Order: sequence, then structure tokens, then C-alpha cells
Amino acid sequence: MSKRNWCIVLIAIVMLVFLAGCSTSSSGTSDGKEKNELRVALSANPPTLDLHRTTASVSQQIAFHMFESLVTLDKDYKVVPMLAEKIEISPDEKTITFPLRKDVTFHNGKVLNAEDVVASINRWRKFSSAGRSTLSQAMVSAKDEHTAVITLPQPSSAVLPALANTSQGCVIMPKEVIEEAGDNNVTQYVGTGPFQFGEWKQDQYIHLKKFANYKPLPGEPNGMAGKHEALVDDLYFIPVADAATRVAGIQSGEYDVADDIPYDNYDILKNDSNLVLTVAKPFCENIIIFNTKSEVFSNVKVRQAVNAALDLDAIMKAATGNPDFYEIDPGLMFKEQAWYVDIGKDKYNQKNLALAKKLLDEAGYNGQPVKLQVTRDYEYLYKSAVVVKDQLEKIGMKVDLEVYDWPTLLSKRKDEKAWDMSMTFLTIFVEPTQTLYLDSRFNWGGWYHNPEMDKLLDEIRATNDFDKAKKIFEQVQSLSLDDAPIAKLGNMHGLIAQRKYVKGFHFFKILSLTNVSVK
Amino acid sequence: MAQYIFRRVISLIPILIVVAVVDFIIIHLTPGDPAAVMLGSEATETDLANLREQLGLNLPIYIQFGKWILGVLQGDLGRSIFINMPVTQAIWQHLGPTISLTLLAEIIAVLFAIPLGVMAATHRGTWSDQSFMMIALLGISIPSFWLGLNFILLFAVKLNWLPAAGYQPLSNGLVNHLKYLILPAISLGIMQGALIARMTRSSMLEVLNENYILTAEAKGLSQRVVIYKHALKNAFIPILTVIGLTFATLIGGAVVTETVFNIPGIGKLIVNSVLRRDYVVIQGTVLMIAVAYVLINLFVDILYAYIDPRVRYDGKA
Repeated sequence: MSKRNWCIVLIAIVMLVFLAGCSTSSSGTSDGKEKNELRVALSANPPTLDLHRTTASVSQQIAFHMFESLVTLDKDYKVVPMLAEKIEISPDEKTITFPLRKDVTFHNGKVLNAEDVVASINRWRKFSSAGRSTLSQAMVSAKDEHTAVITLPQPSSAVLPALANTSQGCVIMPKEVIEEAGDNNVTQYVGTGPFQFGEWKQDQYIHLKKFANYKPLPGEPNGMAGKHEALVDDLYFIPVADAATRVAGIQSGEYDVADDIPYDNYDILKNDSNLVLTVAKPFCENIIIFNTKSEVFSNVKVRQAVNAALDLDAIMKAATGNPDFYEIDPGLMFKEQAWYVDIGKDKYNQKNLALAKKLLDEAGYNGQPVKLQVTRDYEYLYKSAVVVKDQLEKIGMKVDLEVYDWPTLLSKRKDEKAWDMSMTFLTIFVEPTQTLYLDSRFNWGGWYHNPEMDKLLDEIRATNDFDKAKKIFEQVQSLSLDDAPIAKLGNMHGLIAQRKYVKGFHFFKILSLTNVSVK
Repeated sequence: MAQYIFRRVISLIPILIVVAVVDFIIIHLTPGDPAAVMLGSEATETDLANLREQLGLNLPIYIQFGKWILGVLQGDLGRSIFINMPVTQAIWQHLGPTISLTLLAEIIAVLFAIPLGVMAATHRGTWSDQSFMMIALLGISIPSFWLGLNFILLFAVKLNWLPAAGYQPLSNGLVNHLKYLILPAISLGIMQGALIARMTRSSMLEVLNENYILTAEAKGLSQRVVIYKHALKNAFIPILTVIGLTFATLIGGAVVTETVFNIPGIGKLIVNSVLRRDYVVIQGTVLMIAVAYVLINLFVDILYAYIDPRVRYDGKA
């Protein structure tokens, strides 16, 4: 062998030794790790961690490790105290008093007081639609250092669920942080949760550290309520947009938890002895929003025709590829929620092409093209849309599929002339009056407006008698299925993968790493 | 030479003005609303309108352009809507990973490409030349993301030798830094290397037929001296051009590789900014890439003169 060839062989050996030296496995837990941190791969970058200012679910997943609210949800989606010691409602139901827990400190060392609660609620109700709809006429005040009071012009059952919701959550921050932010997003993420903010390296990670002075509630974990602790010292939330990279990363041990695993990978990952898979449910519902201002869909009979025609099993099977990841259910609320009713199920998933054609005839539909907006950023929506188009063409509708990236779709959806139907998903609403597409005053989505619906929703808000409210909700669901502001396609579950040594992982409404350890 | 450099620097100005205007217009013609991305899909129209007003997104487009260009002229590329920091700072934060990745990819490309290209030229027509040509063609044809995904599957998932994705800065140790960069650098470097190797081969072939090479051989100089001292040095200008171009391309073009390997570089910054319609970041980053591209080309031009004494730009030669 010549000297040159020997050199090549030598370089190859050095590279192999280098690669072997780079081996990622080390010693420790059952599959070779020793650490006191969790590395969590998320599919998106949060736009902000200021929860008062966003409905983005990725922001909730991270920020709810740092922030807490006055009240929260137990495993039955009932509102229970969190930072409040208890909830006291006056006999006339117009005054809600929240005596605060006295052992709570913020991450900056300040003890939580009623002024912080007042400042937080006032900011939240300024920026959030739920806050405006429930508290715009209310007075929020501090009765004393440890008691906050909300005084309402009339009784409302919607206030507590709105305060407990995670989407644009009413989290409590120090008054000083709020004052410093003014109308801008807060720049200091100071909460009372089990983890505190460490560092945000843009496009790399968000690091949260265990908050040593956190005082958990007593008892067992119960939904988002009960005992929640930081069992690891560090949390790293890593945005990994590419799904294949998330999957490879969880398989190789680069990540300990990976969210938003594509359903196609289920069979491969479930056979990997190093991994545990969690099917997250309830998670979200997939819907088609109808533009009630469009020429075609302003006619309720066309909307009913679409609902009559759709074969939802075929659509959801196409979306997920596996019946384990969806359920077909007519409920506006999920089965796991106390509000659930199945009123109107005969008008759901009918697969009745003859009825659909009849309704189209009655509506005077004469084959004009309709635009169905969808994005490939959420592949399951695109797959659903392809099947929807096919099914609607069977009843004689001419459907143009318009595919955009997600920001473009959101932007175009605001233009009433740009679309007829739009595919999207909605996360869990804590109670019915939060349902965005039902209440015309939210001015959301397809601009559905029925004064009767608004009146029913107000009646629900006006009572604290749950049984009475649920009776009214039955009418809401029935009217919703008649008016068809949307076509509900089905409830879809999420898929989350964890390394086997990650213990205590659970999913409730959002991904949570409290009470999770590495063993 | 100094005059040449001065002229080139001055000629940057109209280029950058055109880039800035086109950049701004294209981005603002693209549909999409930063407020909708920031507030999430469940935001109501009232919330969106309030945020748009707060961010100045409802101002007429010419006023937005005027404000931005005025800032640029004062060295201020603006402030990101999403990441809440000046664009220059965002670019600076993302520049390190991209420079590291680009340098490593370029080193890998050059280290393998030049010896292989020289070998192919000196063994013209033999089986090793033909195999080299085939491998180079394959290297140019394989998309780097596909190569990257397969590297991840092999070296991270199956062998567990290297991390699947991510980035560690140099301050965390050289080995740590390199072990996160080696796979993306190889997948990027292969394509660039194939280009450089093909150029090396053809340029060497041209030079090897020159009379001065025959003279050198006739003088009894060793093969090594003839090839590396006389032939390669004279064949190097077109090779250098390709190296410069590939380097400039990598600075702004490692977008897909950075996404697949989750490297927080400039490519990732652009992709994320486009996805969230963070206009000022896109504008600033594109402008920065344009500057980098022109400067790298200027640097390559200066190197020409250093390598080849016949090249003079000041008109005196």
C-alpha cells in the first residue's frame, strides 16, 4: 500500500474513533441516562409566554409550568380553587369572593396578595375575549391584603370557567410586572408555579428551573388541580418543527418527551421497548366552518346538506389512519365533561346522500363552485379535506380545494369574500358559552348569527344552577345542529411519546411535566 | 487594488437598495397576519384588530416602508414582533451556528473534493476516474435533507453514535460542538464537495495539457511537485470561484438542513420568521445575507490576485 493510501486509512480510523467517542449513551437510568432534567420536543415555537395575550396551545404547554390561576379545573372539568383558598359566592350570586392562600410566593420572592390578583384580572379582561364577555361590566377589587372580590351586575355561571380556562388563561402575575409591561407583552415571566423561567434561547430551547419555594396543594393530583410538584430540576422545551426529527430524536434519546407524533409512526414506536406512548384525549375537535356570509352557505339548507352528506368515519379514518385516534361524537362538549349531552345525534354523521341532494335542490344550489380552505401545515386537516371534497362532489357540489400555509389561511379567513368552507380544529372549551362559533358577539370564524342562540347562551351565563344551565345547553346543541354553523367531523386525540424512564407522565387538557420524574 | 476594493464597496449601495425594496415588497405582498399568528387561531377579530393597531400593522404600507428604511439607514434593522429583540441581535444569535455549520461543511467538502478531483484528472479515462464521476454526480443529485434524514436514522437511531438533532455552542466544548454538527455538515458538504470536485477535475485537465507542465515533467520534477505545485496552483482560480460561491450559498441556503437537524441558525430564523410573518426579521435577515454574499464574492476576487500574480485590478499590470 502506498503512503497516500495509508494516510486515507489513518484518516478513516481517526474519524471512526471520533464518532465512537461521540456516542450519546452514558450511564444512569434504565436505558442508560443519569440526569435530573427533561428535554421536551414540541412541534412549534411559542409566539409569546404571556398567556393573557395568546390562545396558542404551545404557549399554554410551556407557560402553565410557571403560572397559576385563581381557580383551575379538576379531572371532571369542574372549577376548583388553585391560588384561591376557596370560592365564596354571595346569596344573590353577584359577588364572588376569593380568599387567597397565604403561603404562596412569586418566583421573585414577593408574597402573593390581592392587588396582584386585581391587576392580573384587569389586564386579562382587557385582552381576552372570554374576559371581556364575562367581566366587562364587573368590578374587581381587593377587599383586604389576602382577599380579592369580583362584583357582577348580574349572576353569571360563565365567570369561574372563564377564569379557569387555559386558553388565554387568567394567570396571576405580580402587579409590578403588569404595570411595567403596559399594553405590551410582559417581558418578565414571573409566576407562582412549580417551575420558574430560566432562559429563552430563540429557536433552541426554553429552559425552566425548579422553583425551590413552591408550596404544592395537599392531596393527590386531580386534573390541573391538586398536588403538582417539580420532580426534576430542569425542563427544556425544544421547538422541533420537523416531525421526522422529533420521532428520530425520541428514538435516539435526544429528547425525553416528544409531542405531536405523527399517527403514521404509531406502529413503529409502540414496538420500541425504550418508549411509552400516550394517547392524549380529549384533545381537540376537527371542524369545517361555514362562511354564513357567502352566497352559497348563507342558506342554512346548504349547510344542512353538507352535514347530511358527510361520512365522518371515512373522513376521520383518512385524517388519522387509525380508529384509536378519533371518535365520532355529536357533542359540542366532550364526553369527559359534565356538560356533555348527545341531543341531536340523529342529525349527525347521517351519510344520507338522498337527503343532502334534496336539501341542495330546496336551497336552489345550481352547481356554483365553492371554496374549501385548508392547510398542509396540519396534514390531518388536508387529508380530511380531500375526502370531504370527494363526498360533496357525490351530491353534486363543485368544490375547489384551496391549500395555503397556516398564517395565510388565518389571514384569508377574515375576508368574507375569500372562502366558503374552512377546515380547522378547536381545543376544549371549559363551558358552552365559550364556544367561539356559537356566540355572534365573538365575531369569530364564519360570522354565524342567530339572536335565539345568543339569548340561550346568555341564559346559561345568567344562572349558577348547573342543572338548569345544562337543560338550556341541550337547546343550544339542538339549535346548533339545526343551524349548522359548522360541520363537526370528529374528536381527534393527540399522540405523545416518552422514554421509558420518564415516570408519572399524564395528559390533561395540555401537556404537563409536573409530577413527572426520571427514574 | 485599494481602488478596486473601494469601487466594489461603493457598488454595494445600489445593490442593497434594490434588495431592500424588493425584499420589503415581496414580503408584504405575501398574505398572512402576524397578529393572527401571535394571538392564535382562536383569537377574535376584536383582539386581532387591537394588536394590529398596537404593532403598527394597520399603517399604510408606504409609511411602514419609510419607517423601516429610515431605521436601516441608521443601522437599525428594526425590532422583532415575536422574539422581542432587535433584529441585529437576533441575527447575531443565529449567526454562530450557521457559520460553524458552513465552515465545517466547506472544510469537509474541500478536504475530500480537491484530492479526489486531482486524482480523477491525473487518472483520466481509468476506472477510478469513471467511478469518481459517478460518485460526484450522485453527490450533486442527492438532496441534502434526504441524506440528513438517513444519517439521523443510521448514526443516531440505529447506532446511537451521534445526536439526532440540536446544537451545542463552541463554549460547551469542541467535541460537543462537533458531534452536533458533523452529520449536518457532511450532508451539506457532500453536495458542495461534488461541485468542487468536478470543477477541480475539469480545471486540472485543462492545465495538465499546457506546455509548462510538459516542461516541468521533462525537467525531471517529481509527479507530486508537478501536480501540486505547478498544475493545481494554476488550476485554482475557477476552483476558488466555486468554493466562494458554495460558501455564500451555504450561509443563506442551509435552510432545509438546519430545519431537519434543528440547528438554530440563520436558515431556521428565516423559516420561522416566514411562518410567523415576522416581517422585520425577514427583511433584516435577507438584507444581511445579500451583504454577506457580496462580501464573500469580493473576498474571493481579492484572493484571485493573491493566488495569480497576473491578476491585477488597479490597472497598473
